[in-house]
Amino acid sequence: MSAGSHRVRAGGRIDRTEPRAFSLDGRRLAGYRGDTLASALLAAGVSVVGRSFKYHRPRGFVTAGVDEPNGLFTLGEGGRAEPNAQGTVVQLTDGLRAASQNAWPSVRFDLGAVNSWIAPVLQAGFYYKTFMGPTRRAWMFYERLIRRAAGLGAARPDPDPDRYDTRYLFTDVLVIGAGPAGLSAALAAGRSGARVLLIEQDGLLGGTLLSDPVTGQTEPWRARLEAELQSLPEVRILRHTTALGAYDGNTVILLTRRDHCAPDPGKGEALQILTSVRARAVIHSTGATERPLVFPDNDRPGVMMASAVRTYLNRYAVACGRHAVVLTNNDSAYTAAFDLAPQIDRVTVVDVRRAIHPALTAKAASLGVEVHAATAVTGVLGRTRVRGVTLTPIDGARSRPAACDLLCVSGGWSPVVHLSSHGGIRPRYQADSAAFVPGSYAPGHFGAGALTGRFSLGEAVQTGWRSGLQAEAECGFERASAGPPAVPEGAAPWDTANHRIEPVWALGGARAGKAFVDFQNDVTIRDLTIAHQEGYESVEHLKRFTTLGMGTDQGKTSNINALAIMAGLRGIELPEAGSTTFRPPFVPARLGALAGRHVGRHFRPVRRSPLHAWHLGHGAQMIEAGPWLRPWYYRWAGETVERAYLEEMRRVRAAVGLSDVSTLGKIDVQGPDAAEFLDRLYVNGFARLPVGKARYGVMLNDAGTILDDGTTTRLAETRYFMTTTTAGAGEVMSWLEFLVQTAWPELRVHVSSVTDEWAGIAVAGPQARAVLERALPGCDVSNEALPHMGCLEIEWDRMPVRLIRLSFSGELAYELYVPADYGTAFWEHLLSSGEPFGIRPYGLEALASLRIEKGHVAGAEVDPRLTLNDLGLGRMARPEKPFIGRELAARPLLDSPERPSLVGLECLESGQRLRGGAILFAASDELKGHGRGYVTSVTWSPTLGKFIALGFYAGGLRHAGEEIVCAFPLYGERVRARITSPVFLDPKGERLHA
Amino acid sequence: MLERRSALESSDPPTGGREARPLVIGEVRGFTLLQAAAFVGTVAALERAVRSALGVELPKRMDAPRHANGVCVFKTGPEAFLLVGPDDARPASTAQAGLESSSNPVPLFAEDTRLCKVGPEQVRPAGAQGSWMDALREAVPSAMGSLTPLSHGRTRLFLEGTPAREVLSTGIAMDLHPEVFRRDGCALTGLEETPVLLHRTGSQRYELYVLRTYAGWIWEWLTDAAQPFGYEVVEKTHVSLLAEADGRT
Repeated sequence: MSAGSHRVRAGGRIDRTEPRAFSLDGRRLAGYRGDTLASALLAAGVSVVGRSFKYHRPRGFVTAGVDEPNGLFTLGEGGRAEPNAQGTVVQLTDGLRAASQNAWPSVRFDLGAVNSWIAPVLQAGFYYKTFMGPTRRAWMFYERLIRRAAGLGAARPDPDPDRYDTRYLFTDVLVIGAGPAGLSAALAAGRSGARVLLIEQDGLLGGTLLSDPVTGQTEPWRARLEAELQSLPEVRILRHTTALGAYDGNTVILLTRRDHCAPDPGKGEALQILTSVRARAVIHSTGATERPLVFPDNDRPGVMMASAVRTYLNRYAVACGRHAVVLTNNDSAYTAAFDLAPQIDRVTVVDVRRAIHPALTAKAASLGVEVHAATAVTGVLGRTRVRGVTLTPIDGARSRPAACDLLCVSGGWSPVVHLSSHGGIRPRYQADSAAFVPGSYAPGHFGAGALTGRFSLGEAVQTGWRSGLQAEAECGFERASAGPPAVPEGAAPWDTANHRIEPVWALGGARAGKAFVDFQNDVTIRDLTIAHQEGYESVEHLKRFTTLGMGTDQGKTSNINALAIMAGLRGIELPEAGSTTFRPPFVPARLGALAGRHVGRHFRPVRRSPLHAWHLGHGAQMIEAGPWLRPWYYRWAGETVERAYLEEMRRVRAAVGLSDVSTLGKIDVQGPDAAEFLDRLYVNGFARLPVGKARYGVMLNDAGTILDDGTTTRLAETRYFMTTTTAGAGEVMSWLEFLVQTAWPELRVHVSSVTDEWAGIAVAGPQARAVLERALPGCDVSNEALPHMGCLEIEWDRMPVRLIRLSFSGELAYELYVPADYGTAFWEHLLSSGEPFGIRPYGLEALASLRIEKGHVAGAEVDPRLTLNDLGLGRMARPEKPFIGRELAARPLLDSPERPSLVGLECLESGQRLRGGAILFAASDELKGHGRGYVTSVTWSPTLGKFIALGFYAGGLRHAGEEIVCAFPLYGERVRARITSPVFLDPKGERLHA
Repeated sequence: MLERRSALESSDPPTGGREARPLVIGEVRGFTLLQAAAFVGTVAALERAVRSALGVELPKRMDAPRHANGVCVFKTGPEAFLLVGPDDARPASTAQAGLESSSNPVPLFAEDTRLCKVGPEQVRPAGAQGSWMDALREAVPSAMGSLTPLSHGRTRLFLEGTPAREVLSTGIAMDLHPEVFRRDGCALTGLEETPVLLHRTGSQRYELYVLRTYAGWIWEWLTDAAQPFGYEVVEKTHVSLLAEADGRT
């Protein structure tokens, strides 16, 4: 394998002793350490690297950086495949596998290129007009075909095996971009002792200096600054790191790529790291990118940015051609011409300007570079590779062809204003550099270097140093004593003149051939003309009609040319045309990087009961209940939930069971005014609740409808123990805090969540008391000592136990609370104590079904759209005392007897079942619309031997005994049922008072 | 006596990541945690009561605790405080018995506290006899404020080693630079969508008080976040190891 026919023998920042093997579309190639994928391909003489988006025209690399529109590849395979990776920024690693995109069967011979022949109809707006126009169906049909024909790389359905990390960093000064301005700024701030974070998207520091010859005069300067920065303890440098977006509060989001490290996710090594930085001051030294010129067939492989050609030559030791034409409207491209001249056969400069700096012409002459002033390139010969160009003098004289295999283009420089514009600050047009520069800076933000529209090295160092001092002053540091580092000698003579640009936006007029403005989205001058003819005047509309600037490169090379051309069509000045809105991310970011570690089991918080480990070890099948994992059923009772919950229910009804109720919200209410607080909170009274008693309570929200329910126990005169529903715990706690802090600050009461402090265990069934007697010897749990809704606080075996007799199942039942660390041991103690009585654990499914039999409302019925009366709990309210929601609950419509209210339902058809969510109709109703009510909870009742349900029905229990229809249209089901009391079991409560 | 079990009793894995294990993580057991809160206007009274009962001042700032006599006090709200002290669920006789077998008192918190390891999961202030919780209960009547035991409701994790700060910065949006978040600094903050109290107890040592029911969730996060650096889990009873670490700083 050769490392490239186009490789220059010496020089560059590549390490020729370390070859790197890679492949493109299966073809084995080689490069060196220090190469990018692009430089290695160019070195190998690969000119066509992709097909264009719409017309499938052959395309080659245009740039050497993040602005690359054409050279996009899919890297890797399977779940690791990354589509649309820019070859110009991908570090070459050993074994890298790249695949070209948007071409079939290959980029050299692509059937899609037929689009080029029908190009006249494929202009802007074509798809919408053709396929959306006649009928919606047409689009549904064509969309799949179009999506296949036009597009970039494809996303893969496989899970991504790589790891993505996130982190938070804080710094005094954040310097974005480590070109000469950024290095200078970081040094100015760093020498004062400020914490400096310097980020650079490249793997090396230096920015444009890296494109200078390694043996040149700027290299020692660059290396010296890098060394000093690395020696400063509070300066941190992040390479391979791009700022994706700048946000309020001096927050900047960074993305660090680590592909070149070949990270192993098995060792926790991240492929990418997303960093949120908060800085006290931000220095933007993001530099500038070179822009193309627009002329017919300016997209042919071999037409490249002049600065990119120079980068490939000096940094990667790649000569992109042997015979170069350099087309320019400014001085900067001469640097490329002069660097190329000694290395390749022939260099010709074509300059659209009439007046050229004499120093340039003199130097050109000395290097044998031919210069044509006042001349333009108006056409390109060759299809898969430039073979020549058409030269046309500006004054209209006759065109003539000129042979070449490389066309270097410079249309001037565009400062990278994206980040400084993210906060909503529009960029401002600066006429003398023919460029948009930041309109202003957010407080604490400063700009330096080429971003400010001043392109010389000297100005970069000066403005960098100045912004570094401003930033450190912003952070309150003493100024560094020494001055800025001296600018390297031998700076170019055109350095100070802003490249003497003469803006030219389009060359060649209406000649044949497509003149591309946006390479990636295949937008031509003609598309812009059509947009103008269609009446699109706003740049934002133009963008959406033509799709200009909407590719993965977000128009980095195309936006300004398009603005200028549109301004020309409208006959207005460029600044009047405005600019499009810059939004994050600056470069495409993987969704994996945004998700970070919140994938798989880290997706969202999981809450576990203190008994969690026991459940797992004893055959529990767990189920998610909000953030909690709860036992759904236990395998002792059956292998499937359908069998197990019935067996568990039977055990509770016939003997005794225990279940984990630690997930209930638990709130400690303390203080001299605790009783008053609860009286205001609940619809029913708690002030006169005796110590040692529990009471069921319902609270309304301030709209007068249901908020939550639960049991609250008075432990002492000034202390209550409140329980809430599992689902409502967070909301109730926040509501209580809100009331204490803002509504009633005069009340001396504290509310504290003790959900985490106490393990809760329910023991239910006819044998429950017998179990407790055995488990807590010496503790009197007789009906007299501990009647229904009674509470005992005891210390047992030096452990506090709260013993509350209350029932959710309708059986004789107790809730026992112990400090969470003791939960498992106490649970085991209850199990062993209850062994002679056949005690077994029961899960959530049985718990929920037991309460349906008893007619207790729960999650599905505790609905904020419902009122107390709807739940049949109206008599609980004590309207003589004020409580939250009292006034609004009295609204007439909420009191209507025709509102749906709680009923029980029993299924009348054997072999049929009731379903949650079913719609209820009277027997004579047409089954249409919303019906008269709905089913909220359903279970098979082993006690009654039929399906029973709770639901809401208009008019409620006035219809008791009626036969109605439960419809479930989704399954086409209709089932007959009878309205009954919601209390199916033990309506007199003999069991629970036993 | 029933066995106390940690929320992390079944948590894995013991080690992870690279060969070198510069990070030590684990759970601190054997402490008592109590929330004390005053009502509006009774903070000064509560402060006097706590000072007389425990000899410790209530902190004025939320970013640094106060400690004395083995009790560390964090301020968690305008009138609310968390007190962390030695485990005193067991009667003094047990502790005495343990104390005799321990000849190796070691500091748990900063400079002024000496604690003794008295059993696998217990520590006591050297020489202390009675229960500091009881002393506090006597000193704070219900009209002055509320006392809420939370020892079981919080799981106390620690991480120590050179990468500790970097590991935390992958989940906590706080500036942990040693000059900003100083030694013995504390903060109520958020980690993985749950509230945590972060306490920097050594130059490279941090403790996290997390909600017990989220302890497993945070433990999974911690072991995952520490994986790129390499970590080792020490057994939950290593009070002495923590103390040695503190002694270094």
